[in-house]
Amino acid sequence: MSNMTEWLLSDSPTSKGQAFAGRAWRMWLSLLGNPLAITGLIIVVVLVLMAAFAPLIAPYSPIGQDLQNRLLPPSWQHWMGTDELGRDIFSRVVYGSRLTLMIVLLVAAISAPLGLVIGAISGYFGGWVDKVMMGITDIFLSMPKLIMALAFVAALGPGIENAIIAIAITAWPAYARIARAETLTFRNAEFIDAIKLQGASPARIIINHVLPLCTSSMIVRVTLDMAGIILTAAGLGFLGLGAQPPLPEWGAMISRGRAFILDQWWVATMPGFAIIVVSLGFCFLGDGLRDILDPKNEGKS
Amino acid sequence: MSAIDLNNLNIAYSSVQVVHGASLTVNEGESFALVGESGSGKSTILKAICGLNDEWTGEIKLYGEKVDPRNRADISRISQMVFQDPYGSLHPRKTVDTTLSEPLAIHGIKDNGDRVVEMLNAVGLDQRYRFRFPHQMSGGQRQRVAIARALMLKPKLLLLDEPTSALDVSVQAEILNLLKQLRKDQNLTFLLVTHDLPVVSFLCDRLAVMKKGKIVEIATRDQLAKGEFNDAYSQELYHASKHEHVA
Repeated sequence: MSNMTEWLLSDSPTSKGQAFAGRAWRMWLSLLGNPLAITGLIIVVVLVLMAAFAPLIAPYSPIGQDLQNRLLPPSWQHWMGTDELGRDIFSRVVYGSRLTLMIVLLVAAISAPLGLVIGAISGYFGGWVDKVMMGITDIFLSMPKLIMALAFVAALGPGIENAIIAIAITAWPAYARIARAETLTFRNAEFIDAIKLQGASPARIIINHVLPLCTSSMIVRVTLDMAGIILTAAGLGFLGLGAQPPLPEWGAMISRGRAFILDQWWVATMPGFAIIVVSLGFCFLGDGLRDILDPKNEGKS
Repeated sequence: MSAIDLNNLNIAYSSVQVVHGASLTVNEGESFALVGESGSGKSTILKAICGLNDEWTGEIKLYGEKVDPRNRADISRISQMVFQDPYGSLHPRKTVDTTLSEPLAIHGIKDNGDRVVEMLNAVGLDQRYRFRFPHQMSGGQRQRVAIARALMLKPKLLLLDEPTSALDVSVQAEILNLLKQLRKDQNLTFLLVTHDLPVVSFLCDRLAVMKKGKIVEIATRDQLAKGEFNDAYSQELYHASKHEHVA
């Protein structure tokens, strides 16, 4: 173990792999020193495990109805109670983590690379390329997120896939802005001039030299935005435009529970609680990542 | 044959003209210096020669070939540049090895890292620096990496933009000795931009004195050693630098 640590922290690595492993290890160490970030990481890991092993964790089927046992309060049989169709809420929350995770990951996978590439191209070339691309970005940016998503879902029809597309379309402009701002800070740096003088093509410069410097702020921003994405997805679900019944989407579950909120509080509260915990988890993790990925901290830790 | 021919070179940033009708010739194998105060346009000339600035008129010839500002041929294998600030000229997320291999990769040169090892030796860096990141090295070490990077493609001409002014005095001497040695070993032509006359007398054969975008005088090292300048401004610069050293 100590050999391993020594290898990782060596100040004269003998291979590219060791150099990058060493950097990753240093980041991991500084993440460990941040209790909030670790809390966030644990929540996210629990979410992932819950989604992966949902059939093993959930005691009941998420969609199986049992009308004899409807609207039961939390008990040892039903940890979070049952809803108006007698479905076990705990099982539904566990299965709902799959939907939440899927929405978050797909939105991030669609919008972050799109925003990154558009922002980097715009910032690197400047001039009319920048004007046109940022004009388009501004148009998208000027529309309220949820309203825009609503319009898309209205046009494409309700459903979880369309909700994902709609959220992704509204999420990328912010990333394009960040990537552009980052690119502007070093497009005239001497290391970019140096690589130009070596005869590199603009595509090569953007992919190999500009994008790696934008990714850390992008990772932070995406992680922080995950909470917002979850809330937007839940909002769409609540309005009946996201996941359709009987899918156990958390937002849709709250919407159903609204009718009983005064007498059977647990129906709406339990999924709401899940949304809050997961959103907080992503926020904490994002905050911690910002501290360790900040290029200004590079080499100081 | 001459390495660089500048003929009536004019450079303007938007509407402000920075260089007025500069003409000079640098012979192959020669070490030539451009000196002058900051703002005199010496770095601007360097940028025009290497292609980082295309807003010029007049004529630039490299090894007899005319350079067309609108349709630049790739001159990366002929001429390379070393920048002033070793903290800003290396990519912060790339190891020394990646930085040095990149020019080879761009030009599709197959190489198993032999050239990287060779260049690290040539610039006097131990092999244990090969996989370090820039933030794990000192300014002098970084500048050695920058010099190694400039020499990866075996250029004949090296443009040096105040290569030592951002370094400590003791490290400056090391880098200057290294540059002198490399020039001898690899038959390089130097075009050096500096405001430091002792550096010129150490490293260069001839110098051009610039004032407000004009070349006021071209002198030899002997003239510099004796302080025999014809132009009043050159004299002034010479005495200012003498004074600096007494102080």
